[in-house]
Formats: sequence, structure tokens, C-alpha cells
Amino acid sequence: MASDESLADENARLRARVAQLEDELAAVKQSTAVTVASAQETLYWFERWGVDFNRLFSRREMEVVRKGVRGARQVYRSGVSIKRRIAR
Amino acid sequence: MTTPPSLTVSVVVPVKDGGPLLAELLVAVAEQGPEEVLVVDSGSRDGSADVARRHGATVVEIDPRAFKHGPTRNLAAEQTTGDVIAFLTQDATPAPGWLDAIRAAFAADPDLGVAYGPHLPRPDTSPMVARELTEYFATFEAEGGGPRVFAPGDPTFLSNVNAAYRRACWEEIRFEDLAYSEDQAFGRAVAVHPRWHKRYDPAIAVLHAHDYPPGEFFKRYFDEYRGLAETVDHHEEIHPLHAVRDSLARARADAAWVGRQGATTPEQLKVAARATTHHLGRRVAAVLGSRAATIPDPIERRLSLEGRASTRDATAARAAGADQPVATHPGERKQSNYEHVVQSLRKGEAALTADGAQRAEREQLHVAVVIPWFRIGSGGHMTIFRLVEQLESKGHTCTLWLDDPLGYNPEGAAVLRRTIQEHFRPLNAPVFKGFSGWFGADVVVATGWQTAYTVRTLPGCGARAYLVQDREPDFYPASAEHHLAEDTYRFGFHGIAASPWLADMVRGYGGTSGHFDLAADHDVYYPRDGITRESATVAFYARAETPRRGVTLGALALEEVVRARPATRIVTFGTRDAVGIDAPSEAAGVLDADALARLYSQATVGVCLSLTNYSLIPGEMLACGLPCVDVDHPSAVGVFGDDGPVAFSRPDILALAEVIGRLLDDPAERDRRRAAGLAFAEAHTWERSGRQVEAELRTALRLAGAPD
Repeated sequence: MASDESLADENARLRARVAQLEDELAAVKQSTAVTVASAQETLYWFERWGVDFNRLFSRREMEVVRKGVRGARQVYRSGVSIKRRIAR
Repeated sequence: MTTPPSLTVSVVVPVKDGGPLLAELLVAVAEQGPEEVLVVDSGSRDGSADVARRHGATVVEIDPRAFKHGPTRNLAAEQTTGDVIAFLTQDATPAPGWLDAIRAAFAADPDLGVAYGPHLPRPDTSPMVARELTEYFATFEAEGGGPRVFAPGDPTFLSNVNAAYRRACWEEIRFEDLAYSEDQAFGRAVAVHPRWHKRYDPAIAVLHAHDYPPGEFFKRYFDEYRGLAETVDHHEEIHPLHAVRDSLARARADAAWVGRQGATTPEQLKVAARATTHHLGRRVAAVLGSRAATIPDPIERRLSLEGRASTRDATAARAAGADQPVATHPGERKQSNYEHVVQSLRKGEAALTADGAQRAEREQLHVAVVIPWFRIGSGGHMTIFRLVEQLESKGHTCTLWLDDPLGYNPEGAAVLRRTIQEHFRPLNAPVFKGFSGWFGADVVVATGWQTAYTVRTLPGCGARAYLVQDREPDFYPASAEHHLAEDTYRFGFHGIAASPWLADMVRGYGGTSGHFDLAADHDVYYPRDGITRESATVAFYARAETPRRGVTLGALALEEVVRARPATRIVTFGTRDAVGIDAPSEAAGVLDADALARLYSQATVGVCLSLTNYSLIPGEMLACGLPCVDVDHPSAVGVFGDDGPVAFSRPDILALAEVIGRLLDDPAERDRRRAAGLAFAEAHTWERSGRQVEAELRTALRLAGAPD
């Protein structure tokens, strides 16, 4: 008898857990839909104008540009650092 | 040249303000002796029609608003009788021997469907254009020069500036209803046709290219690339460095080319400078033109030589052609086009989850709606999106999945989603292209027969439903497509049909089904104040492109009506093509929703015939207080009742004329039906339809979850 009761309790507990997981899954799906929709909202103009930054920045020319920008940034930061030291 | 005397040639020239070149063309054509010359004039103000008549051409005058490259050429071809129809543009002067070359080519090869030839530069043509044309057309020649017959896989280029069609080939393929590039579409169709083929012949030559100031060149290219974007969705990529390099290379080639023609070095330098500007301008125009739809209309008109904004006909068609089917592409069909069907059959049906009954009780469902490819203006998609909008308003999570195995919608998902929001309904749902990210759903909904094959393979669903808006097998003659479409009703999806008649039809295939009612948008369709209803005006939905609308039947009946009541005014709408009523009528063309509501508020009787499932249009007419005539198809009778707001007739010309005439003559009957129609419309809202669909989705889940 006792074991029947514990089996029933176990079943009820598992059913509740399944229901909870189902609810969580539904919530995940809903949030996935919202997230994808929001990303599509953000990406609209890039897609519309065919701008693909991944492809653009993977080009050899862009590597040169990026190196140039990094160099310029380093020079700028060095300048700022030197200026601060002098100011001290 | 020896040619069989039986091969006759009709020359067709579409004209609008042809100018002095038109006379030159007509003289050159007349000298070569075609059997027939037809000029289609679309509202010239420079006397082009008179010029054509003086040169012995038959002139057909059409409303300039009705002009479209494809349909107008079809109309012209229908008016001619020649075995071969040779199309020229108004500024393409045939070179000597042009017609003989056409006759010889078609006489020698009975399977030759279309022949075209080069556009030779005129003496005043700029070197950039002259070189490009000469070199471009040389690429079509056979190896070693001369005529070439194209094989599958060869270039499909074709230009109606100068092209001749065998009548039998044109009758079989005809020009598509395109605003632009109808010749390219024809070229693609011929390339895959089992019988007809295409020939390029340098002897079928016209003088065509001529010069423009730089500003006009820019605008011409803008229009050209806008046309490519509108028709084949070409988007010119943005590559500034490449554009500069390419333009300089082309300018160098132009300078070298004039050098070979005997130009001096200073002349070459001058050409190089001009050519650099020309080619750079072209690149800019290409980028802007192919993105013209994103440019504000006033700016776009200034950039365009045609002075028009982007083609948005389809937007208006959405309202007028609200009964368009969910898209089925009219183009070529190859066996491989049904690869996804075969895959689906091989793969078999995916198992449903076992918890349909529990899912049915959830407050919020996840509904995945699988849609076929679409164009702006698809009435079938508008209904789908209206229903999705209603489901979203009830708190359900909806996702849209584009099932487009042939890539008719090349846009990205974000662009498609925005297109839906701007041209259909403002949905929150994300759009997925393809099914690589498929993550299951409570209910997955097929919305067209092609999508049903995909839907049956999608896993992780509590139930499968089928939004059936029409009996799609009837869209095809006895064919593979007919059977493939019909088989989808046997897949066991729960049908959510757009009428009780359709729901019965689904049940007839052994399935389960319920129905929803089509509704009218009451924010737009209501009796407009300040518009006086006329006493003898018939508004006739004449979209002949949709055969199930029985336009010929309606047109013939209206001829009878006018014969008995000459004061009847007929206004046709829903199409840009000529309707072909042998009675005075006014073509309102494709109207937007607001203009439609005004027409419905003004007319005395509406005529919209539905030979399959009923259309949205009678409901919209009724909502505006316009009594309507339809044929007594069980679908419409089941919805509107035997003697309710809609007057029914057998699909018979005289019976239809009698019903229309009776309604025109009897104000009491009109008032009775008008009152019934307004009450009907008030009771039928999209909100109500949304509730019906929601209930059917839950039924689908319960049925799927029920023990066998």
C-alpha cells in the first residue's frame, strides 16, 4: 500500500516536472521567436543593402586597413599617455 | 534569297512619342516589304500615330496607363496574322537585308522559335557605347563568327529591340505580365523548351545605339538597373575600389578602340576622360538603380529618365487582386523543381509528439506557419498574414517559415519580414528561410499544396494543420501538378478551410476539417459619405489573369446587358490588361483599397464571379453597400445563402445578363440585398475569423492527441 502511494506520488511529481519542463520549453521558444524577430529588425538595412561585414573584413585589403587603424590607435594612445605623463 | 512564299512576317513597333527616328524606321521597314506593319501607340503627343498611318502602318492606340512591355506586345501580336512576328523598338532602324535574314532563318529551321540580331551603333554613338555594343553582340556569334543556334546552358539573352518570333512559339510561351524585361523572361523560357530554340544572326541587324548627354546616360542606367532589380531582383554590389579600377580599365579600352578606328592621340585622351566619367557614373547609377525602392519617390523620379518611382503595382494589386492564389510560379517547370516533393515522399511523415491533447489546453500556442514564396500583392498571403496577426493578438507565438526550394524569394529573412510588415500586415513573427533552424511547434500549418510536402516531414510538432484557401488542383489542367496538389489532401492534416464547401472537400478525401470565414477590412470597406451612388453603373472584377474568375463569361453577359440597356456604364477593375468587352466600358485598372471602396460606394451593381472558392471581393463590395452578382457555385451559395446579399446566377451568359439586368432595373431588390449585405459584412470580421482559426488549431491538437 505504502509502495503504491509512493509510486503515485512519484508519478505525480514526474508529471509536474514534465509539465514544468514543457512550460519552460514553450517559454524558450517564445523568447527565441522574439529574439530572432528583434535581430531581424536590427539587421534589416544591412541585409537590404547587401552589406556583409564578415565578408568585408575577411578581405585582404581590409586586413591592411585594420592594421592601419590599429597602428593609428596605438599612436594616439601613446600620445595621450605621454601627454598625461608630462602633465604629471 | 530563296524563301518559301508562305512565310509571312508582321512587324510590330510599340511607340510613344517616336520622334524623327520613327519615320526613318518605317521607311526602312517598308523598303524591305513585310506583309504587315502594326504600330501600337500609347498616347504619343508628337503625332507619331499619324506618322505611322502616313507610312502605311496599321495603328492601334492604347491608353498609356495600360502599357506594359509584356502584355502590350501580346496584345499587338494578337492583332497580327504573320507566321513570324518581328518586334522593333521605335528607335531601331532595320539595316538592309534585315527582313530577308529573318525570313531565311525561320524558313530553314521549323523548330526555330525566336531569332535576334545585333544593335549596330549609329554614326553619332559615343565610343563607350559603340565599343561595348559591338563587342557584346560579337559574343553571341558562333565560333569563327556568323549565326549561332543556342543550346541549353547557352546565354538566354534576348532583346525586343530587335527580335522575331515564330507565331506558334509565341502562342505557346507568350510574354509574361512584366513591366520590364519581358524579353529576358521569354529567352529563359525558350532555353528550357523541349522544341523551340533561339538563333542569333548578325544579318538581322538594326541601327539602334545613339548618344546622350552624360546626365541622361546616368538616368538611363538608373532605369535599367532599377528594371533589373524589379524583375530579376538584381542588386549591384558596392565595391568602390573595384568600380574605380574597372572604370579606368574600360576607359583605356575605349581610347584604344577609337585609336584603332583612326583617332589621333589628343582625340583618344579626350575619349578617355569622357569615358572615365561615363563608366564611373554608370557604376553609381547601377548601385542606386538596383536599390531604387529604398530611395524617396521625389528623388527617385529625378534620377529616372522615365520620371517614375519604383514599380509598386503589386502593392495596389494586393487590394484589387485580393483573390490571388498563394503563389504558384508560372515559369518553367523541370523535374528537379519537385525535388523537395520527392524528398518528402522518400523521407516519409515525421512522428507527431504524443501530447497533442495537453498542448491543446495551453493558453498560448506556438504556431509555425509554413508559407510558399510570395510577391507583394499576393492575396492568398494577405489572408495568411491577417490570420497570423489575429493569432498574435490573442497571445500566441507565431513563426513564419518560407518554403522556397527554388529560390524565388532571394531576399534575406530580415528583408522578407520587413516586406511582410510594410506590404501585408504588421506582424511580430520572425521569418525563417528554410528549415535548418527548425525547432518544432505546437501546430505546424501548411498554407499551399507545395508546403504540405515539407510540413509532413517536420519533427517536434503536436499537430499538423492545412490552411486551404482554394481547391488548388483545379489551378492546373490534367497534369502531374494536379495530382501532386490533390494528394496533399490525403496527408491527414486537419484542414482549416476558407469556406464550408472547401471543408467538405477536405473531408471528402478522408481528412478532418473545419472552416473560417473570409472577412472585409472594415477600416477601409464601408459606404463612403459624400459619394452619390449612380443608377446604372456596373463595377466588374475583370482579372482575366486568374481564369477561375470567369472574366469572359462576365464580359459576354455585360455585352448583353448593354445591348438591352445602352445607358449602362461598365467600369472594369483588377487588371491592367485590356478586358475585351464589345461594349463601351471604362478600365479603372488596378486600384488600391481606398479607390476600390470609393468605386464600390459609387456603383449600382458589382459583378465578381468565382468558379471555385468564393472571393474576398463580394464581401468587400457588400461592406460598402454594393449588391453583388456571382455564379451559383456551392462555395459562395453556402456562405451568402440562396437569396441573401448576393444575387446568384447559373454560369450562363444569358442567365447572368438577366440577373445583372434585373438588379439594375429593380431598386427594391437592390435595397433589400444592400441591407442584407451590410448586416453580413458587419458580422464577418477578421477578428472573428482569427477566433475560428484558433479553435481549429486546438481541434487539430486534440485530434492528433486522441487515441486512434
